[in-house]
Amino acid sequence: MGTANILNVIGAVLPFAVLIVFVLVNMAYLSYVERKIWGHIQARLGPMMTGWHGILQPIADGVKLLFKEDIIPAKADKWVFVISPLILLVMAIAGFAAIPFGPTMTVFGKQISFRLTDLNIGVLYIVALASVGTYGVIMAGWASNNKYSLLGGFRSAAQMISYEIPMAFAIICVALMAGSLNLTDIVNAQAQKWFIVALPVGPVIFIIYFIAGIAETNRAPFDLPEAENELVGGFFTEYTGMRFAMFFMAEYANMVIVSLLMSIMFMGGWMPVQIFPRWLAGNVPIGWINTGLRAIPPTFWLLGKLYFFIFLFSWIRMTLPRLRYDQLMSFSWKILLPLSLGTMLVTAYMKQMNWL
Amino acid sequence: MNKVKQLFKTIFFIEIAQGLALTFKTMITPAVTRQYPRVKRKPFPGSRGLHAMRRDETGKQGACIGCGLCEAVCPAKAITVVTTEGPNHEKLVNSYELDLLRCVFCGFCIDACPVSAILQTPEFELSCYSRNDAFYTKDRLIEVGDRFMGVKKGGV
Repeated sequence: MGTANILNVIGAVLPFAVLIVFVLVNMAYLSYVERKIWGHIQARLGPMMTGWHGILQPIADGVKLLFKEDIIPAKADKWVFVISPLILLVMAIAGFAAIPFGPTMTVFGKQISFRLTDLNIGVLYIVALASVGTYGVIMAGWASNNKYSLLGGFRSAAQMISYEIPMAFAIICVALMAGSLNLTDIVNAQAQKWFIVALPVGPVIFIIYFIAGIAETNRAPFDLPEAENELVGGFFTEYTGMRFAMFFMAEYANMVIVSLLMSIMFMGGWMPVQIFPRWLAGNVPIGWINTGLRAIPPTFWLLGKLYFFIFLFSWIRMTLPRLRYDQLMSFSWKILLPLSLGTMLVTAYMKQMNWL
Repeated sequence: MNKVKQLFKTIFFIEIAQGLALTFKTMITPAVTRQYPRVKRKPFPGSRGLHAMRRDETGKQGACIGCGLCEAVCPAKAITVVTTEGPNHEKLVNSYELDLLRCVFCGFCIDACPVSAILQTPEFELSCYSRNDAFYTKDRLIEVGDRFMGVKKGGV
């Protein structure tokens, strides 16, 4: 095997390794970052004891959970009980395969693309995976043989079905505006104007998608499936040790995916923020700020937007109380669904008339 | 008009934005947490913590005269004083026992004591590994007093 062969192998494996490391580090450290944010919002400090400002807390948690006893309840459906956290986690991680982290760039005369696959139905693929992930939740609730888990699972099923419809309509709107389901094409379509500022429909679509995204990931104020003070822990009440951790890893991975999709579909993906409009930039004395912002690598722009959304998620979680179950359902079916349908019609009409 | 205002508020998430602003304001203000085992707050003067007994003028024994007022006033019945008559018809304090597991740290015993024999120190870390450790005899109370006041004779 020559040097060129080895380089090829490394070139093929490296993107996977980098992506997996990125996902795992995110899953571990988002818990830490969130706890810090929650702490400070409640005028506390969050984790402080392990390492500098508690920086090693996720590692301590991971080691603790790994060595905990793995309990499977006697009356549980063992096979389903074991497989459901795996379904959830695998479906959450698999979504990363279709996400482009940056444009194709030429470095040292080599084409480097910051994605694993250039899927032409990328959005559809990710939404489909999210739907399959719901099965993990329902199966976990069912297999635990515990009424609280079962209630949590059922709530999750109903909630995900209700919120997937407005979410799908929002995605259809974006696909209409971009003319493609390919995430790279969607980003490229926003070169002139991000979809979030594409008046009049852009902000509405974004808000619909944002609300549905929170509900999809079971985050507060839509965290009824795991409502701690009603259902103990919801669908993962009976889980212990690493299986318990898997649910959290899946939750954080889902959160990252939803935030990434939001950045890509509405906030221009890896497009830099431009403070001044293009026609103005040449005429203002501080127009160089635009040039400076454009000099930041595109991937960092995407990651910055991603972490902004994740901060927004925990911020909202700490601010809003949980909805009642009937409020949750009526909000989805009576408000979001007609609104998203109407928005879709308006978007389609405007696209047809070339107004967008 | 009011309804229109309400609708406007609902559509543009005005109230949610107000809530978010409040939580953000809390986030950027310094946290109120004290890192307790590492950073300990100085107790306020006069705080009612662990009990101690003062030595009498001779410095050889506790200043307690065995009047039993603390035992009588104690609402939690934490104090037991046993006295007998000595050879010269004086009162001897055979035992003075304080059960911290019963004590409510109200400070009535300190108020009641006519000779200021029983006192309270600002010591507040009272955890112990056995029930016996929470059971303070006269000797232990004097020991605590020595720790906080020095072994000087008399006086508080």
